[in-house]
Amino acid sequence: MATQNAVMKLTSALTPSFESIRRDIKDFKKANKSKSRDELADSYGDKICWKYASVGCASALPSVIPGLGTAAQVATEVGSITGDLALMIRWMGSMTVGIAMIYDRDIESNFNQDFVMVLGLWCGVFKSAQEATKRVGTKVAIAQFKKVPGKIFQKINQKVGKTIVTKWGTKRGGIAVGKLVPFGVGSLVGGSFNLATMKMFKKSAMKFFSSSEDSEIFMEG
Amino acid sequence: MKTTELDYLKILYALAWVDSKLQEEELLFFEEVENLLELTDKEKQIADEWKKVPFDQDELNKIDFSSFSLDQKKHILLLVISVAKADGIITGNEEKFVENIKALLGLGEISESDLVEEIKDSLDLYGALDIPDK
Repeated sequence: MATQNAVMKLTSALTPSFESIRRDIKDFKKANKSKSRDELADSYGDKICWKYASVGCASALPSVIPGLGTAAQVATEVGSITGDLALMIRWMGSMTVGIAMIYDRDIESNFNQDFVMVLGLWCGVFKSAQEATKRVGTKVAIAQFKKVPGKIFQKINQKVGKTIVTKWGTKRGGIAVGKLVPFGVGSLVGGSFNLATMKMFKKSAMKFFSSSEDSEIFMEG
Repeated sequence: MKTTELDYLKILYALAWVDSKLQEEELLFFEEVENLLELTDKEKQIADEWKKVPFDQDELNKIDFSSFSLDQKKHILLLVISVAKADGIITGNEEKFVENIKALLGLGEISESDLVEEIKDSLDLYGALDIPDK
């Protein structure tokens, strides 16, 4: 229960502004009238990916954006996480909201759960039926998500933590900003990495929201 | 990594070679970037060649920038400006390079401050670091 609360609190603390993103989507649809829903979701997700990577670049320019830095520590209800990690998760949340809106999902009512599901898909705890044909695991019907036992949150928490440490924490732990990364552009390097991470997350969000609401998702093991 | 992303790396090498020599720190930088981008073996071989011989700046003209989205183009320009300014000094060659990239990207009218303002708007929209202390 503690882990479930921790994951939920993290997503709650980092929930984006639905109204702002709704307006953003409306403008985006207007500017891309000829695109299908899938194309819209893909393009919108890409837009966020590139803008996020650009944040990394901009933060490398001295004093451009105060408060943005690789060393910023941000306290949330679940404990301290680094500022850049909080930013990444927040932007993932925004992407989740935007893509959900494009697929006409009621994301405002279901953000916490849906975001956790997309995180689960992204970090591999959940698999679609097509991917999991050789694995028999607990069948988790999206519609029954509220009844899912706490151990699934544990797995997500472990896997997200491990994924982040493996791809982010460990490698970035090896980067002493301003030392190992010359040019003084620690965030720049992080930005390049983040682009790849965000693109994978985009695919997970699209997979989740483009599937029908009674689709089944499998959990490994 | 898709072809367009390899081109993106190519732009960085072109900038690094603009002063005719790759510094030790630049080599370390590229090693780190390439590790994080998880290049395939073939892509690593290509990137290794770019470390050894002066980069032919004409290679940039072979990149099909028309396939890049507007946000991708703006990102590339900001990346180039950031890298050029990273050591605190922007050389004449680097300035010319930035202008050349702007022209190739079709972003001739845009300034660095325009790009930064857009980033700030994005932070307002998608999330900034003012995470509430709940």
